[in-house]
Amino acid sequence: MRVNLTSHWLGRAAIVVAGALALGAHAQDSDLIARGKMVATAADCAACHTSDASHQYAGGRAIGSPMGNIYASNITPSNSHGIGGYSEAQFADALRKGINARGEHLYPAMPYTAYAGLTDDDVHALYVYFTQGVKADDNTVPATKLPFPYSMRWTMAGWNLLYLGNGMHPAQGSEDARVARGHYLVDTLGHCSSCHSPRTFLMAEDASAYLSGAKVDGWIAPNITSDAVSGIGAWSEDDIAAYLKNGHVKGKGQAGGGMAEAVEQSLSHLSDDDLYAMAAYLKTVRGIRDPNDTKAAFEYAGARAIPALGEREPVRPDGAVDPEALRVATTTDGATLYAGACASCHQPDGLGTQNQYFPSLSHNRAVGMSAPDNLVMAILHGIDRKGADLHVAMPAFARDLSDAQVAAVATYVEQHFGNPDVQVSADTVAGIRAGGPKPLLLRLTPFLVPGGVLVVALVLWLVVAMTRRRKRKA
Amino acid sequence: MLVSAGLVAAAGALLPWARMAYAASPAQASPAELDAFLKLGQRLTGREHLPSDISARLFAALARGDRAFGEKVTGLVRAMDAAGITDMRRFKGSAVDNDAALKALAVSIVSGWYLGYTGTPVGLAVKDDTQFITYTGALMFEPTRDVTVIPTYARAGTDYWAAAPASIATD
Repeated sequence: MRVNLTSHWLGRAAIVVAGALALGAHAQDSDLIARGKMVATAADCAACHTSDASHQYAGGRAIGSPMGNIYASNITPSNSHGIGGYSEAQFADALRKGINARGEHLYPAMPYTAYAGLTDDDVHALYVYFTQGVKADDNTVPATKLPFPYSMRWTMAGWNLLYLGNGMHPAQGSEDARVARGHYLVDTLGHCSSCHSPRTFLMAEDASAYLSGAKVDGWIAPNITSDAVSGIGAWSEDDIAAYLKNGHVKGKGQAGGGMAEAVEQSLSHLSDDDLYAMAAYLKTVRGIRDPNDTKAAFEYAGARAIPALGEREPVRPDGAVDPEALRVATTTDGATLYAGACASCHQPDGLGTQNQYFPSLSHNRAVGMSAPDNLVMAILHGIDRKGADLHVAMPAFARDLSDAQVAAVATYVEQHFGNPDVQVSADTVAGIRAGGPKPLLLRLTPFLVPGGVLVVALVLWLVVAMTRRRKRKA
Repeated sequence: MLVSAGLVAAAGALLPWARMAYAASPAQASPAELDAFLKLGQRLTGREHLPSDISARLFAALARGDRAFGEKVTGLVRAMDAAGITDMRRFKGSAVDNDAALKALAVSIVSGWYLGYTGTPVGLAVKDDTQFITYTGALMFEPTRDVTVIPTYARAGTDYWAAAPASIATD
């Protein structure tokens, strides 16, 4: 009995000692895991790789590209469906070169052109986090099937040759440590330019128009260069940092669509130091002005006076006689639609609530831009954004309002509260509803395919001819 | 024959829609009448300014089915002038107050301005004799505007009511 007891206690002690040793190693790892988690948050991996909050990083989300849906992969340490079998080198290649462990090329929907700039330390931390800090999940991801010729993944090798750089846009002048940190966060982890830079014919980011704004899935990712009119030159560093953290700044604008997601999943979790570093760097980006812009979007407050009360509150004279008349919701009168759909939150005068939880429509970038896309998208799809301070939700009207009605209410809002030069037509709304303009490459694809086949045939013939000649020589 | 009968039936069915134009100002009221009615409304509610389009709408609603309404208004104005009622604090006990018809007319006008509708609502009924005048412009919302909010209009963010208003200490 005594022997038994002693061995029992000895066993206990051994477990405690082993546990302490493991704890030491564990502490080191947990630091690294925490760091990796921070890097993953700053890089917003979850935005694409988590389609369902209960399956963190298990992939499966369809990334809408103009070529078709690209399904984000499972990046949990699952051996069968995730990256469980990846070595650190393979992991690094996927991140920085766009090549997975099977040697296949990734589509640049995965911003490896930005992650090419990741430091080795950050890659290591990410690897440790994704292999040890994330729960393995055997979620099966649908295969990405793009139409020919984009189904040929190997063609990305040529694309990479042209466009895969070092992940950083050249700095403008010298950078102090803070600006350099912001530069790394903006270009590499935040991959801001993947939305905010326009794309070239071959869908690469246009370096000459870096951060000067682009259309993404119907939204406009605005110009965020330092230009005071088209960009965010008139925003203070405090404004920019607050916008990144909370997703809104009073009298300037609010985040919607993809930016709301970036704020919710990534930017609102960053430290203030990092957010101010990003703001400081953005202020150094060379300003690019759109010649259509004459003053900053947030300065617009409408040109026409708000219609009189009698016009805003229309009476259906036979409403009392025919109760069915109250169900008729086909009006295309902007004032009526505004009063019915918008005014209860944004108020009849468009100034929003006193605390600006429901923001003013005057001095609001979405309403002051020279294009109505973001206003129309907010009306169609609403807003759902959890910033560091608030959870904001605006209902979507896509199913309740027709294109003509959205056009009417958007025009009303532009005229009375925003940029009076903007007139919205039903056709414009239909185009935005359909996801915005198609890139030239896609419109030309039907014509490119026969040409591409010809080029491939020509290259093949050349290769064959050359090898034959070489054989003959040998 | 059948076709024309069908057309007549269709036109008959569509008639209510044709009448569904938004009420601006009643065709039968002259600008002078409407102006007098606006001034009367201002006097009865003790306000210097009231929106003329809302006043015209109230006139139309009250005059509905009553061709003599314009004359009644003129009569009320005259009676108030005669009784020297420039300020509503002098209304109580005056000759106008003691005349049941005049008083009822004055009350119907004041009530239209304050409630934002005319007639009497009937609960759970789809039809009654109410006429919509204004929602946000209804004067009853004014006195409490600093603390409460017009129902269905947001005052602040969601759940704002969970915190006591800042002015509660002084109220």
